[in-house]
Amino acid sequence: MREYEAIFILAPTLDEEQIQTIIDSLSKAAEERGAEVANVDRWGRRRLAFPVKKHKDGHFVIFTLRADSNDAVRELERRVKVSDSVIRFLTVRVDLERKRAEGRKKKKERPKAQPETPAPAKGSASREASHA
Amino acid sequence: MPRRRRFCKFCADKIEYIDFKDVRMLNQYVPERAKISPRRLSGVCAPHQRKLKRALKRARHLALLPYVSD
Repeated sequence: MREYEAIFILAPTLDEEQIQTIIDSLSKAAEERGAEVANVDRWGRRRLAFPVKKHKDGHFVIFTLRADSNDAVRELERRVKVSDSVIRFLTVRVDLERKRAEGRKKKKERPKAQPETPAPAKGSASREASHA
Repeated sequence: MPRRRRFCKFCADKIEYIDFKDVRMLNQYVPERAKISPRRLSGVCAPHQRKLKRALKRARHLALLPYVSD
């Protein structure tokens, strides 16, 4: 099971209702592609560190998704790319980094349980689903 | 942040995953010009500096942190 964090920055020109519509349609699209929308976090309107598509502010929305494949993420990104309402987005696969962190913690807890453990396989799967 | 630090804050706090959404924490590692502070000044260990770099760059992409400032 993979876990993704998908962050979307929506244009500040949208009103509350339009934002909700976008969130609902994205959630629906993700669920149709076999992903579970574990959480939707809204940060509200935030000042951007630099203008993005001429906007100085943006509404931040963070989806936490759980899925077995990248279908849902691909679909979300495809939609968001053609949408003018979403001015910036980033999807990060968080389970890999978190798993690696846990593995290291375990190793620290019992450092000499198995003195001759073979080196862990070096998986070089890309950590990010996308980087717009 | 002090000019020099002799220990890695992330190791001390046992932080394994550096969150790119935690702007306040990340801000400690980008002085005025918004450049990423070098390890020799911040004291961050090499493994954590790599994770920090990743997080800072993600935050920049999301306009949470500036690429340049001034």
